[in-house]
Amino acid sequence: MKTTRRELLGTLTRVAAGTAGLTALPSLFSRAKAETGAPARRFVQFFLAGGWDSMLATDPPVGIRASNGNYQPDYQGLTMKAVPGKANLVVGNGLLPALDAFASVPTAFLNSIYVEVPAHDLAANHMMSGKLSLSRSREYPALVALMGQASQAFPPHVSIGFGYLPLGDTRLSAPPLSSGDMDSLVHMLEGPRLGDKERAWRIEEANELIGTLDGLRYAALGQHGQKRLEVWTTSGKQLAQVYAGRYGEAFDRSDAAKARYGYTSGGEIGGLVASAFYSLKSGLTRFTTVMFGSFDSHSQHLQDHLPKMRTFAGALNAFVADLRATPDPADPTKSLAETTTILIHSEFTRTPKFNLNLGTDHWSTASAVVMGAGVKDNTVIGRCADDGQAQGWANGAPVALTTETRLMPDFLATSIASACGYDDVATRLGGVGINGLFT
Amino acid sequence: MPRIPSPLALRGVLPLVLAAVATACVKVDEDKAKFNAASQAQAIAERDAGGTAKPGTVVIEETAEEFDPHKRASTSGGGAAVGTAADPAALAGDAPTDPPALFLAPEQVVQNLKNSFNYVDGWTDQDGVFHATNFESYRTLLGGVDFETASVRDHSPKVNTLLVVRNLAYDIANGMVNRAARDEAPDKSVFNKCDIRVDRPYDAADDLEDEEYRAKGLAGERRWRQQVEDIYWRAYSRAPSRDELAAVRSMFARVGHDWPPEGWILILYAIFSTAEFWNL
Repeated sequence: MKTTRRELLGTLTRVAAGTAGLTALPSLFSRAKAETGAPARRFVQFFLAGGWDSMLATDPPVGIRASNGNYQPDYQGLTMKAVPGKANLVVGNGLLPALDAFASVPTAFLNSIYVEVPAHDLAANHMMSGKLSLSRSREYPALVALMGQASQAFPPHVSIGFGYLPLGDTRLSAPPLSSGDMDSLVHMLEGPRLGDKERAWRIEEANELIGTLDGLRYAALGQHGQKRLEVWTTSGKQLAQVYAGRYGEAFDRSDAAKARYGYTSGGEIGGLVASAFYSLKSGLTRFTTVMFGSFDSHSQHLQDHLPKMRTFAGALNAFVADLRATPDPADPTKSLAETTTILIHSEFTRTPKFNLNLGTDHWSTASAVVMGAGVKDNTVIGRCADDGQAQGWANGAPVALTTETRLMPDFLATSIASACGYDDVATRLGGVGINGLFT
Repeated sequence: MPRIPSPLALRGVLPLVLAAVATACVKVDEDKAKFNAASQAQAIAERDAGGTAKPGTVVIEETAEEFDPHKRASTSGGGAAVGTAADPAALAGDAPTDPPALFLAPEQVVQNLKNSFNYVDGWTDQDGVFHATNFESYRTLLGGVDFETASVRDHSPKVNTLLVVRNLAYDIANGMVNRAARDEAPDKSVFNKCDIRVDRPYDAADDLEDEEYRAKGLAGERRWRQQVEDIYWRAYSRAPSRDELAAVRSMFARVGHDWPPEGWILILYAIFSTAEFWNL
């Protein structure tokens, strides 16, 4: 039995009014869980910070929009294609290199997500956390941080790349293992190395010495001193777990791997995408965020923005192919593609027309791609109006934009949390999901 | 607008203020000395009487012990021996609370390395902010201190912290020793007590050599030991305990016998990785 968003909204309203009882909301999610089996899935989010261009991605100007004058004519000179076998999914030129990826795993596009404030940090916080904060002093944690915290795993989640990942109160309780690039991440995971394996035992000796020196110091400090250093001691034990996991060995930094993902340095787009794959493959984490900066192209849009998107799409293709070919470390009977849900998004999209510098500016809608485990294939949810403005969405069709029909980032975050098996997180995010996004 | 007194006007007041501060300092020092002396006397008396020392009591060993390579360092004995000021809470034995130790901010550690080890690796931006290359290269949360948003502070260490700390410790140790062991213009600002490329702990095999070699070996070990003590003072503001020195010596004898600089890298790596180095 499906539950429409309107029904959910109605239920929430009744809960608020005290007419439906406080158990109404959990029971709805229990039903969703029963339908999907709600496994504890893996989740990867690729965040193209700065505001990506939907016209080059999930919402190319086709049909009446190709000629109504509301969109920059330059887009018409760019190839756009439908995903083979998935007629609903029309892909803009920027994501064309990922066509095989979209064809090979369940994929859904979301357009016309309503953006309350098209300012980078505020919109990014809202998009990643599903909560809008208009105060710079109030930061809500990202969905991935909440799920990482709820999983009680270590590390709670992994963050790769540069950019703003809102952590909120999880900053203290469940901070991510984060790194700016692949090489630094591997370096951290492996610990200091002496260069050749024959001398590896010397580092082990030194690590033992650290333990001995700490032990002597703790003994000298007495019980009060030891208690004061308890957090450090606990962290030290977790450190030993990380080294013992040998996660760094799963990171393939060969030239062949670099060529497949299209990068030369681990900090480039392809290197960051590859890092996400190896983080999953190694079993290091269930939740990974990859952040790419510099998609905020206010000038020379097609020369600046488009190549970056295509580079990302090429790496995404390799990423999905690798997920399909790699067994899940926790369940070798399934591939990682079957257990991982992928979210590709940005804080907002860009103006349909170019500015005087041939660039694009911020626009009050956002878009996203959701792929992989649990996703209802060949699905498009949300559609911008012919003039590019956000529209509402109800019962699987666009409707006039009202506060009740807006497609909010909150709903997307809630849906993913629920699909990944974290109903408590979904409830914390407001409990209203998007009907039809997940099977 | 209030008028700011000129330095000349303060001339008469300043000596009085300084005198008052000096008197207060002397008083505090006297109190400390009395407290330490009483604590030590009590602990030593209890130890000599064969009784168990009060939990948390620290016995301050006398220093300047004559080195004898054939005498094994004690690994246990009548009380833990550390050549440092005892932890006040531990001495008091009745600390009301146990707040977590303060994790040093990366900037503080960078300053410590600069001041104590003459180690500077970074650059200063146009705003005058120093960027420590090693520290910033990881671009990650270091105990909650996010270099991207440095205003968000969290003194509690996480495993992420230790992952970075271990690598930082090794990178810094490696840079420091290589700087001191290079052929041309070696840096003597830290390793000035011993010859970093030659001096090492004396071992059993040295006993089989001729007298001149043995004498050189013993002298080398003395210098090596002085260097370890000096590094302890720079890192921890205290001398190593006998047990600590024994542990360091034992490890160095295994990893640094053939090429002492590698032993120094690993010792510095260990010292820079300890809880004591990163916490107050």
